[in-house]
Amino acid sequence: MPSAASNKLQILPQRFSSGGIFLSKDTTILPHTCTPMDLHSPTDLSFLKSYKQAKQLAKNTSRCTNPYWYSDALAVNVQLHIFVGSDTGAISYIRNIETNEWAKGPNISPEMEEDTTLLIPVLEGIQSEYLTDTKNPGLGVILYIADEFSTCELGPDHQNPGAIDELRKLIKENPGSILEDQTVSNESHAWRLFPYPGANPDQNFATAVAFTRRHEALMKQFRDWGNDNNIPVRTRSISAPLCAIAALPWLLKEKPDKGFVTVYHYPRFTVLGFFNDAGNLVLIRTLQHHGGLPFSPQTASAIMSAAASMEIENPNIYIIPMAGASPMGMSDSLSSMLAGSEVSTLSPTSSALHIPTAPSAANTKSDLDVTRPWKWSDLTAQSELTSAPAADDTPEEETVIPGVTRPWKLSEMEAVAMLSQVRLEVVSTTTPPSASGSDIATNHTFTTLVEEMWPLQDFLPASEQELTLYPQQIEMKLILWSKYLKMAAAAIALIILALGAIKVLKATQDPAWNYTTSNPSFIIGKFNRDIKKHQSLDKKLSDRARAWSNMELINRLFPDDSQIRIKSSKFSTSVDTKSKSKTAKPLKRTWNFSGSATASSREYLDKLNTIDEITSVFQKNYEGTHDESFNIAAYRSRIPKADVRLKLSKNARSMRNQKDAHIYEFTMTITQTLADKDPLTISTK
Amino acid sequence: MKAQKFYIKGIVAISIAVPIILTLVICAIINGVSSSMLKDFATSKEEYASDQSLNAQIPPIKAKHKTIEPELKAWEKITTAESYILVNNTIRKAVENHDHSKTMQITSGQRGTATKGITAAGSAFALEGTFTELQNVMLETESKLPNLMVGSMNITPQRGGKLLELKLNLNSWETKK
Repeated sequence: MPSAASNKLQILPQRFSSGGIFLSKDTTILPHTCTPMDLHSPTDLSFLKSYKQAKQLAKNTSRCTNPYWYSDALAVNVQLHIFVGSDTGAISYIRNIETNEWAKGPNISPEMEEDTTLLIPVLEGIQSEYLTDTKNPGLGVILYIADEFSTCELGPDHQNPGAIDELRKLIKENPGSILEDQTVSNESHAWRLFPYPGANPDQNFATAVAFTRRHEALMKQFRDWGNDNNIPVRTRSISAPLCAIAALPWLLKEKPDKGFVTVYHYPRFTVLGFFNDAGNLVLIRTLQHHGGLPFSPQTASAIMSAAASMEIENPNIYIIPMAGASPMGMSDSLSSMLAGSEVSTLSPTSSALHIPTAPSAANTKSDLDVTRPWKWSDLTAQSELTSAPAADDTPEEETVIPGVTRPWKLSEMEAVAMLSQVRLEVVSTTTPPSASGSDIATNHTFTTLVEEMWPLQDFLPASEQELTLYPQQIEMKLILWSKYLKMAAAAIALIILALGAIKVLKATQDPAWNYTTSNPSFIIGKFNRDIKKHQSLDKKLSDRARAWSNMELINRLFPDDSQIRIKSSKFSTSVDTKSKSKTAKPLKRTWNFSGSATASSREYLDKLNTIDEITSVFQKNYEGTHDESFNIAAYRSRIPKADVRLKLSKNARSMRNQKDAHIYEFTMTITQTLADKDPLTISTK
Repeated sequence: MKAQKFYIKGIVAISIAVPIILTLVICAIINGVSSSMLKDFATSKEEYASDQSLNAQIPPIKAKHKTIEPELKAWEKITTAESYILVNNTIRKAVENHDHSKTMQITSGQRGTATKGITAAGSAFALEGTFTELQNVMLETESKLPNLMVGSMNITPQRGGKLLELKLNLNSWETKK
């Protein structure tokens, strides 16, 4: 069984009434619009209804745009730090990261824990003072639980540091399965693992820490109020003693020469931390203060036996009074009982506490604009406190937060220094131990504690049922982005519609719209066919052999004064059918003349027998008749050939003495071929 | 405690996928409608541009056609007519026109054979007359019937007379109607 710090293990009912808000598996919240929203678990809803619920939440809440809904409590701009240390209530501080201010917060009375509706005016006051003028309002509630502290060892089968991740998961779900005391459950208590990173292999590598769930309703009320008022309220319930252990480097500037024991004295219990020679934490023990005693009488013996089992000889004993003044007689008691040890008191209010602060980088956006998990190491900036905190001259005044008067409201540096006089634990949540500059801050224990955030574990997170109810940040972002997507899609559709309409409109203005062809190609075709036909006929009907121009040739060959008598004239045309040309056949023209001539005309006939003269006659005949077949100049292939044969007539002797007697008989043959590329050839096409 | 994303399927399906699909469908419909309207227009436009281009070609072709048209019609008429009849009539008319000596006559006329190697109609005529009359008759005939090509032509003095005898074998180029 855990050694409970408090015998009052009150478990407030999970279902409770909160004004007009119904909190259950299905819950009703009132957004800014004050329109009730009935929320149901999405696992019970149909596909469409779960989407409608998410849309409703996106529409009626700021979950899409306010990153604080998904931030860590320690990363929210305005934080309420609450310390629960006794039955008399809790004190609180309000931290505003943006303005670097700390202020006194409201007291959380035990009545508020009993009736959480009493918390509402307090939260409304905080809202009014801190959350009205900000773009992204949000409240981080950090609950430091110092009214109980229980530990339990892991079972012998689970002493495996390599399985720490699995053990960390199991202790939340089914702590009895891994703890020495297998009767424990997570229904009445919240269990968390706390490691001893620097422990030797033969020593326990971790312990289990437990709290009752008595503050769970309080934390839920904070979150529910946030849901009702559309203000993200993020909570983190942490163990104050674990934070105090993590803050040790602020108290011990230099590492002691040998092992040491820290004695954190709280009103109801004492937490003993055992550190080996290297300054690594190897064991945590807790002693309850029974019977109204200020401290447990077994403290010295517990230290002695545990130190012996951890092989820490004559450890230095550091008493750290976490309840204000050091308990009367404790130091003397320990000094007398532990003769070989040096007992000293470390005051958490010591001016040696230099508490630098830094803005949190936890709200830095990831690539998808989704808030990334907060890390302790986000608090990295260093600065020195240059002067002691000055008293604030501002007179006390009432604030809008019920029951809160403002004795001080200081700037960050001064405030943290002042706070450190009150609570050491706040150091753990505002500054990592590495910032202390202490020798032990960089050892394996504190390095691991910082990296893995063991002291800041949330013991009372929202239930799975509560987490399930609301969409995750990426889901809200998707709804937000879908708005832009829909706008972009609509714009694209409109642009395409407009472009289409413009195209069609432009087309209707075009003379080609509904154009019916007049078939110009048909007209051109007809014209071209006629032209081609004309060309064909023109070629076909060329002057190849005209009777009248041939008769004109006879006139020119044998003019009246030539004293030549023609007896017969023959002209014929023939086609060379044996020609190899496939497109045109040569045309042969032949003239045959026979007649008689005088002696004086012989010379003329001889002249005609020459190519030049006969060509000249043909050319002149062309010039007179325009019969192309006689145009020798155009085609040299048309040159005619004449063959004149003369002989004396039979009666030439008898006519010898007659003047102009036709004593000669002659025949004349002229041939002309229209061939080759001559257009007057006979086309075979 | 890492919460599961119970809403994401509905959001992705309805907020993301549906608008995208709807937009694609709308775009496809718009595109389809405009494309179908513009497809006919594109055809009309091409036809219009082609016609415009062709119409620009028509005037010079038409002008050229105008110049050749009468000649072509005349040529078609003579090349598609019954050749022998046409030649016979034309020669007779020419003889009437040029028989100044009143001695001219067509002594024979008949269908003949075309020159070997030529696809044409053939006809044969024999005329008597003076050289000038015969030449004028042939000038008129060949002017009216340019489709005539002489296959053979013999001119000899008339036996026992002063006139010349002209024997003609004519080829008439023909075309199909």
